[in-house]
Amino acid sequence: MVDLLMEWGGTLIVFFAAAIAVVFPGFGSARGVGLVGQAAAGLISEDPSKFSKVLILQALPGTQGLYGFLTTILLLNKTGILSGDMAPIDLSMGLKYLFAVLPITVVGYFSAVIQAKTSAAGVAIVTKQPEDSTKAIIFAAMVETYAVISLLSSLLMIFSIE
Amino acid sequence: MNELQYAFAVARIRYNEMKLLKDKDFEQLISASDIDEALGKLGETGYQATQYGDLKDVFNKEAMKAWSLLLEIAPDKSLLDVFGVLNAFHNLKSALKSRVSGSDNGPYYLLPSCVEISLIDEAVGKNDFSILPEYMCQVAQISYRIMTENADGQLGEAYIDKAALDIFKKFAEKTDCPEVIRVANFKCAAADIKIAYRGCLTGKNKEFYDASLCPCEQFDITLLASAALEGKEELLDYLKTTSYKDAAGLLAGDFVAFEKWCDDSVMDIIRTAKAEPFGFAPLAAYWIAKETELKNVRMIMSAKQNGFSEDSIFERMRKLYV
Repeated sequence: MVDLLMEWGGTLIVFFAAAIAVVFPGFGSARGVGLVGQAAAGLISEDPSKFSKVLILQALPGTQGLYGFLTTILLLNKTGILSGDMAPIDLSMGLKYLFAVLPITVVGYFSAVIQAKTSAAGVAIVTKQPEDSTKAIIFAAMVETYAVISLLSSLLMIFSIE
Repeated sequence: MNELQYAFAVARIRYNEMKLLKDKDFEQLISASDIDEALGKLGETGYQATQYGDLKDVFNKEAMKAWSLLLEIAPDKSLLDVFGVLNAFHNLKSALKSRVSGSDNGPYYLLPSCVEISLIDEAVGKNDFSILPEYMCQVAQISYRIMTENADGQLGEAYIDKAALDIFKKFAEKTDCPEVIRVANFKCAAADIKIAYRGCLTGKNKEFYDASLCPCEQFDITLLASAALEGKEELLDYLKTTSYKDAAGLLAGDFVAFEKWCDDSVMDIIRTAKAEPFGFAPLAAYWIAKETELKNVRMIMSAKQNGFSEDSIFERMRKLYV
């Protein structure tokens, strides 16, 4: 059992890392897009002409889910799981991959939710001053910076693992 | 309730806030030369009134339109009871007074009411107060007894008013919204000051103050009652020692100015909701803003009908939310 774990434990951890890298940011994005969608629906039910402006705000928290998915794809590719030439990964290597996905997993989730709150607040700007809707988008996009930083961190770590 | 569930409701409220009358709309109404011109200008803002006599119905319709919007969008409709509870107690008081006095005019009811008017009518008509909500049942029984057995209508009314404020504060706490809780506490304190001031001018006794003053956080009501029993100067001196020293200054001059100060203070409290993207506060603020708008329009129209000057109208104008 111990031998089996030593031989395949790392691989299992890589699968776990790949899963959480897509699950948490994806969950955060789903929550975020849903939240802004509620606010957008509130506005559109009163003034349908503002649909295109709020659609951008709604899409913004969705990017974290894509970053998580991208991280998972690259992790699976790097470890040979995706290409089919998978070799057993030892435990320490598996743990390295797990830590490598943590930035996008954690920051991805929280930044999606926080960005959604900013975007939903931006819906009020679109409602009252539609000419300033770009400012609402910029406010929400500022949060994106940290999601991008966490994505790059995760990718750098994944590719630096030898 | 998770405040994020208010995203849809708040977005709709923000849109409807834009339909509230603004300073320039009120300036136009005030600048009208007579009531007919004012009615014409009011019509341009969306209020559909062709003659002065129609205004009461138009105001009721406007209020109920705003109320229906809140009922439609609020994730937890029970929280809105906080804005219908004072009217519900007013309606109870009105029904009891009408029954006890046997007046032909019938009770004067206010809407929105968190207790159905038909239920209040039935309870008072059948003298069966048990069908009323728990928080109102005992109050109705006791005040009815005071009105009939003691033949003291004013004391009975005071008892209902005190209970109304107490329940209002409890409902406000249920909303878990700091702005609404602060508004409830402020309104309670302001009502106590008004009762003490009027009681002091009309020489009310201690029993009256005990029955009417609702405990509040801002000051000690026993000290307020003692000061009111001693006289107007003592009452104002006592208020100067509390956080309501501004009120003392206004009461020393003009009671109308004090009432304006009360409404403006409520608006100052709720104004913070303008920057809140979620939660119950924007809904509460919209309702208070609509009530203030109606109060201002009512006051302007009444002033125009009675030929008041523009300056006197401006003096009485309440602060707006938008």
